[in-house]
Amino acid sequence: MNCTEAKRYLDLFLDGELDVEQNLKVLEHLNLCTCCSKIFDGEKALTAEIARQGAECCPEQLKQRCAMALDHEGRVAWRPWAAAAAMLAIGVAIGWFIRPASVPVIVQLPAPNGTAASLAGSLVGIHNANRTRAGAMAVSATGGEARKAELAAFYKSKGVEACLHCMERRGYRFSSGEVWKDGVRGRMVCLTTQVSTDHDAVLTHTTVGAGDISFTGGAEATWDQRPVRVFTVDGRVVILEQCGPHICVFVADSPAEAEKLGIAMK
Amino acid sequence: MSSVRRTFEELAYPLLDVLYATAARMTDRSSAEDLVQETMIKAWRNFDRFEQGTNFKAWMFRIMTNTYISSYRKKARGPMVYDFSEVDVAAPDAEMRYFSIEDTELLKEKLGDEAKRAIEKLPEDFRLIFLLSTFGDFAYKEIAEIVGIPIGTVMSRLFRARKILRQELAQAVRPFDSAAERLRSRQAGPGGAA
Repeated sequence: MNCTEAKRYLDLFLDGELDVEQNLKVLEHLNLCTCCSKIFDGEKALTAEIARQGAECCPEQLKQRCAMALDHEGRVAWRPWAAAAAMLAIGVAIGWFIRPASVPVIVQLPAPNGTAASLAGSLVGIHNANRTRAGAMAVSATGGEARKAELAAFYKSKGVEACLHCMERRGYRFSSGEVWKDGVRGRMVCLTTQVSTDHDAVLTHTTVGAGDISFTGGAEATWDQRPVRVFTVDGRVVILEQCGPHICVFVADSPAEAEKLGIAMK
Repeated sequence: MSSVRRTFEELAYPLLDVLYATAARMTDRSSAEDLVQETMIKAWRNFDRFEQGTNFKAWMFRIMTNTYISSYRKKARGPMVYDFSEVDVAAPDAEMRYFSIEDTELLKEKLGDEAKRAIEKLPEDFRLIFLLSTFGDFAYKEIAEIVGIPIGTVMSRLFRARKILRQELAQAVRPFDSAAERLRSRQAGPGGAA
């Protein structure tokens, strides 16, 4: 074996992919040729160095997130019938299919046309799940404008255009934000959670394309003189507001909370 | 905690570091975290389908690779990556720059973040194969099964990735060398540098 042949086998040799006979031939050459021997050693050390430098530890917070997600899954996994029945009930009732998938809840819309009522139903499901998830996906932030900027940056990094309507003057502040990779109609959708500063209340807000949902149904109401549509699902209040090319959807904990937000029923 | 869950955790948790390190080279940090989490959930959901005694690490990487390809790969991908599988990459290349042991020793001191940058610059498909080999320590056959491509394609992509990396790193850590070389070839004039 000459140097050219030896180099042809370099990658295969170092990856341990040569058969015994070929391996022996390379070794014989390396014993005789200092030049090739140095290259083989150098390339081996290079790969080892790259692997060593690239080694990373999984962040502690990610480990916790995984454990939480598995806990969440575990509950579903070990009660498949209950989960299936619940999903079916919700799916049939509102025409949407809610999947308690990973930590970010995924909403899928199988029907060609979603109705506002079906959207309201699924968002209430998410709101309820979100309330109990204790901010697993929370963006760490300091609050106020900083939190808003941080959430905006977070959404931008995920490539979604998000409406960030903060109800600060109504006593809420941003708590967390998340992106569903496969949200409404396979499009990315973001969800922000706001929490009350003085009592136990959570407001979730998401934005969907006006083309994805019709702005009909529910009860007519006004919000600071703007027309909105209101749905009540399981005691929660869902408020739809036309917002430029989008529809912003808010879920408030209760009718009393909706009133605090300034919703005036007609 | 159920014993199934405990078995799963005993197998999966030690892999979190290498899964994360690989994911972090394929996408940005925050997506890498999502990707690892999604991989764990999918693995747990399908754990009953994992055949005991087979390679769990390869199984996990297959889940992560599929998840990556279906949801995390950059949307604006343009045309499919060049297929070098037809090229006889095993042919020795006259211009191939190999690293001798002296080079590598020298490089270790100067390497810094260069290796990371060079890996990130690799075309996506090459990078994946390179990471599975270098970080995952998988054999060609395992990589072929994880990614679902023929062994020949694994080899061509891996060798090609290494060739690109060698060039990148040689340039990064030996800028004076290559500058001197360029100068020499210029001085030699056209046709002079044989």
